[in-house]
Amino acid sequence: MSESPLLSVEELRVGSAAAGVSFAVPAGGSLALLGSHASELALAPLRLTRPASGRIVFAGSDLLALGDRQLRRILGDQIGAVFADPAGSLHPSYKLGWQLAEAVRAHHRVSGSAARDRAVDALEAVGVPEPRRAIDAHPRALAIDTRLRALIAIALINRPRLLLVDDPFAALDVAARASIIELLLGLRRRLGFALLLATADATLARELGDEVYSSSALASSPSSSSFSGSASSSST
Amino acid sequence: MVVVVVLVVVAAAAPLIVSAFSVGGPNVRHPGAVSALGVASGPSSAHPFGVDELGRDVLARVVYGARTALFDGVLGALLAGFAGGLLGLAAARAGAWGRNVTAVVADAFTAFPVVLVGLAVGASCDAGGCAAGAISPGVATVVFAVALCGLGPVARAAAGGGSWRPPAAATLRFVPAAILLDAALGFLGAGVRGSTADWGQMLAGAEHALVNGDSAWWLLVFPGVALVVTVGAWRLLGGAFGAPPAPGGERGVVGVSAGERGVVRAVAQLPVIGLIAFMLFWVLPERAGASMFDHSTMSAIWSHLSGTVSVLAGVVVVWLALGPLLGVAAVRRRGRPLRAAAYVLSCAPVFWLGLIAVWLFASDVGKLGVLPGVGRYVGLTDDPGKWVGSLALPWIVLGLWWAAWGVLAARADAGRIVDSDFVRLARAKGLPARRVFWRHVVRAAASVCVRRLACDLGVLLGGVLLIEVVFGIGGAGLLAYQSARLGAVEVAQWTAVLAALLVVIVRALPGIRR
Repeated sequence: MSESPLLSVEELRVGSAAAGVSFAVPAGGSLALLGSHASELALAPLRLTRPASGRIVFAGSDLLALGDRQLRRILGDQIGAVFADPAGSLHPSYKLGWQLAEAVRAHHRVSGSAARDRAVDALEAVGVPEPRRAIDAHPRALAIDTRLRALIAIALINRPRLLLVDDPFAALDVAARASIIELLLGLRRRLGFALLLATADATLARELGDEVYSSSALASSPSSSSFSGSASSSST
Repeated sequence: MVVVVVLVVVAAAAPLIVSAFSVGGPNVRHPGAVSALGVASGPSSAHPFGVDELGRDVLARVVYGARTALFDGVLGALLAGFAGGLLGLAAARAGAWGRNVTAVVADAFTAFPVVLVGLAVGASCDAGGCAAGAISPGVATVVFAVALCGLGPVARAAAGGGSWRPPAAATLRFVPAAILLDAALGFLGAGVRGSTADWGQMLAGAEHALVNGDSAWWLLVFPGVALVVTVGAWRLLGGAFGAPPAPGGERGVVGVSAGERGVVRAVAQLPVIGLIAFMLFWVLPERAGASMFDHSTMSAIWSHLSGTVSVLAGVVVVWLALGPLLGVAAVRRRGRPLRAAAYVLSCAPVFWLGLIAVWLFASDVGKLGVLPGVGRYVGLTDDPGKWVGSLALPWIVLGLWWAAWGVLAARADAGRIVDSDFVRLARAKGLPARRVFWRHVVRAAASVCVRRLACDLGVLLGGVLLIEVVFGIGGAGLLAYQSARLGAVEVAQWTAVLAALLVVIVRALPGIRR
């Protein structure tokens, strides 16, 4: 870790958390956040809510200081996100293909058919069966694990450098969960994006994270130091 | 909240004391007493609320009207709760298929516009009682009609839970609707009879005075305000026992795919609708029913449909255009005044709002005189410009009333939408805020509004009928009302059945049921 990390979070205080938290994700690396406020911390780069204090630096720019327009240019393009509820994360009124294409066209001037082709490719890459039919389906017609795959496809469709994942596996059965975790590991190997995962499940954290960081442990010790490699456990 | 209810109970239990205290005048011995001269006089020290055209003290009648409203409303709701609760609980015991049957029966019952059913029942039982004398004219008729209308919702609640609590809460929540229905029936002349003080009947009297040009505002304002306060108090009480379940949120028919569900449900409701129609036509009236296919009745309804469709179309357009925005606006922090206004409006009976609008804005008898008022309806094919003008006031009134209901009902949905993960995902895609709002938030709210419209179409149709009567728009509702007053019940019966069929069909349309 000689270069500066892709994402570094400094003294970030979210919601009702008493103490600020610091951590960093190196480019291409992965970090799993465990414990209280893990979801808010992991999703903080999206700036859905304003944190009480702290700094979030992504690829050299302070996300909390950016204007809305500059932030929008980064979100969805360089940072992808998967939320905790795969059943509720797709818009119920639009076909799947439209929702994928919207993510492409938010950042690239491409024709409708080109966006559609990319949607099909993206669905194929995440293992959705019959992607050409799936893009014309409404989300409610799809199985829950297919919806999660589609959400991963949306998050990765613009080849982001960082993927934020808020543990979406709670509603899945064991087999689907295992196969999607396998998928995420494979995609990371292939595309090389960095991963920031929030979860309450220590096993999952060790499975997906090169490093695991427990925010609850840190919340109890008020003076938090920057996290740098001294992980509680690491595995690859 | 509870204090308000206590107030209402006091008003109901001790009208004698209240009237003796405030108006000790000679004409207060009985609310039905006639004393003063033929001219109605406004509020004075002797009569704080004024007197009506027969010289009856308005305060005394308002206080006694509370008795009628509470008696009819509560008793009707209790009957509905008892019958619906038994049905629903029995069905819940019977397992999944029992629940299916209850859902279908409840759907069929709620498809009927309650005001029309009440009108039909009230009018057919009016002559000399019905159901072989079991239901006498007057109070028993009203209670029966109210109970009939409350059966569906209560049964549905009971079947879902399987314990006595959901149906009890549903019964409590039905009371304000029952009071409003009671008032509407009184207004339509199908409710309590004669000298019994009733808010709806008082408002009908106020309408006569209004249309005749002597704006006796005290006749209009006091009973209406009493109604709003009473309904509001009961609503608050009912609200304390949990929010009502979302319509269309109940379980589907077991063993049927989502695509077929709407159609299967609709078809399953037809026998129940037929049964209710059978009861309306044959069981209730003493005189065994009108001929099943009376050509003149049908053609009369058909020829009057244009008025009804005109009123309905305007309100639907306004609702679909504004409903999603209003719903989203109501969940914002600054939406508090909007929510309060919606709450008050939704507690008011729509015919009262119509009368107030006429009193304030009608070009002939109104205070401000801006829009055409009562009896100015012009057909679309006659003159499109005048058509819009003549319907403007009815549209505004009905639209406001419906939007108030819709905003309150859609608020929970809109709240879920604003905080939903799909809206967060839209932002995470890097979309501009305006696009997130219009394409994601408002789009989702719009489909909620469409579903709401379809599920509660029966309620809206009842409102259309009342508005037609208030504004004298020559639609099917006015026809049903006028023929019922003349003793021809068939039109009301047929209109009720046709409206129910329409509601069933609309609910079965693809995209309405999920």
